[in-house]
Amino acid sequence: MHTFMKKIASLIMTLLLVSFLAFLTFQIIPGDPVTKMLGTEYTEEMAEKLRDEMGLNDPFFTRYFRWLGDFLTGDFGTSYSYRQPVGELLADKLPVTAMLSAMAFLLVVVLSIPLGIFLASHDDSIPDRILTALNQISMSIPPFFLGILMTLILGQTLHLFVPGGYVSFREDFGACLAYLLFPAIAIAIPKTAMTIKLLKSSIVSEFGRDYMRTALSRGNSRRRALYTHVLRNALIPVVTFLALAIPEIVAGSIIIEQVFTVPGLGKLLISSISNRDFPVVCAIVMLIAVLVILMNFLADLLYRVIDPRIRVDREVRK
Amino acid sequence: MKRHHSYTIIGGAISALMIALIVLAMFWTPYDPTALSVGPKLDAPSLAHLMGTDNLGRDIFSRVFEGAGTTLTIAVMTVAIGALCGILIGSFTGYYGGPIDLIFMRICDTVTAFPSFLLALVIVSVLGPGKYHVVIALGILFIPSFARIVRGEYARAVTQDYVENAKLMGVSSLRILFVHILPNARSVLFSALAIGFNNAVLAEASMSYLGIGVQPPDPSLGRMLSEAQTYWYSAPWFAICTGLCLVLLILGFTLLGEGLTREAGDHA
Repeated sequence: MHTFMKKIASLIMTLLLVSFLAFLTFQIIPGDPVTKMLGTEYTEEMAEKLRDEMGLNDPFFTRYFRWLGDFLTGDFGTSYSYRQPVGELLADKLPVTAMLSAMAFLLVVVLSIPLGIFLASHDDSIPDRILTALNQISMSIPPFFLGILMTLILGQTLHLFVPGGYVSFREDFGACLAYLLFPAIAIAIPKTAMTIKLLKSSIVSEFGRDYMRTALSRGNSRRRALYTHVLRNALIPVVTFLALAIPEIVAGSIIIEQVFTVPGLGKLLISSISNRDFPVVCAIVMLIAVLVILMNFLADLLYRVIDPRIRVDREVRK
Repeated sequence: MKRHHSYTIIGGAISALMIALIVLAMFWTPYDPTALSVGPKLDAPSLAHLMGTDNLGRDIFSRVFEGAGTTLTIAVMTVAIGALCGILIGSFTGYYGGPIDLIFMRICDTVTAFPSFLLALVIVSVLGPGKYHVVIALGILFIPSFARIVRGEYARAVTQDYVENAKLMGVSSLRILFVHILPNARSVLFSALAIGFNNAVLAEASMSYLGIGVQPPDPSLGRMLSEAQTYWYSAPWFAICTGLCLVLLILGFTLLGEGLTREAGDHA
């Protein structure tokens, strides 16, 4: 329990550090948001008054803590270009990206684990060689090009979906999920390929261990040994990899949303970067940063649950 | 001469072919990549235009390799920044250890945990889009991964006999670091270079596709793909040829990296 508290403390420290760095980054950028908001015709007094209203004249740390406090209570500031609270802007987009990422992640898990086990138990057979080669190639296809090919082949030639025909989840939840399935596949394929490769090599190396020989000599079939002994050990690196893949999947969906014209966080983030709308960029980056840190934390916890050796090892060493 | 893994050979062949074509395109292309209406608009691939023509009647083949040249240049520059700084940081922290090593590695762990594409977006959003800003953003982001790999090699080398011997013979620390240990880290470093190169090509293409990377008039594969997307009803070869060139570029270096990693593994 003691280690757990320590982990929580370091988690909070990391979150604070990241929030401080994010704030600092968006403070040092050249350009004055006030002159941007006022357009071309303004007087110095107007600008000064607006600066006071927005609290831009306060000392640095006052602004940081106010920003942090606002952020924690769900107030992400006001967008420069939309003149709308960032929270409201995000409320519309966040569920779309979250659904897309969740679908992509589920696809990765559902596809890679059975395929990885299959390839490992048929190591060096012909299907293994073919799939390994395909796997290697699919790791080299940029997800956005895959997305373009999918809209071309599945959308325009086979008419499985209408490119650009995204339906809002508020109107028709089922149709929305059906549309999101295709971008989710485009995000999932390269990650699935990596997971399969990792799982396969992990199982194959576990097959060579001493406990495997013991299990076989006690009359277990290879299959039984795989499911009762090997898999538990082989999955340890895979679970960590998957937990860390979640932020990558979110980042990937930001690109793929552009290919499939899905109105999610990605579109908002890219247009905000082009417009230099920093409150929006900062809020999205912070949200993803929090996600990354939480996932790292979760991966660490999961690691301890699956692998008792790590728990014992650390406690003994202390 | 040791035998190379089949991945190294195939990957090396693809990369060599692509680089040869790109270097050739820097001096000579079948048509001027920027000249308008060298053929009919959106013409299908033919002997005159190997990959067809685009919406402005420009030769796609010439443009693809011109664009791949920009991508390659950016990738080389970013990997050079990442590798040089990474080797410097990694060698010193790995060799000397101590609290600086701990702090550096903690920072590297934190940075590598974030999706590098996202961090590059943040840096570009601060600096503004453009070719050199992309190089700076990606270059900085590649430092931690190189530093980590190099540090691991140096931390292992410190306890080895040849380093101990060199120290006893009074060889200077700098000479030990870069003349004695560095050549021994080369196999690991080569595979890291190939993987880094690959990531750089992918990241640059993604950013240019989103319109926040390379800006016109510099040609870029990513931006060509986003243009091609508009015309795929009438000219699917535009997107397919451009994308295929990108895939081959990445595939060559992926296979090369994979092969070199396996060779380094067998070697150890």
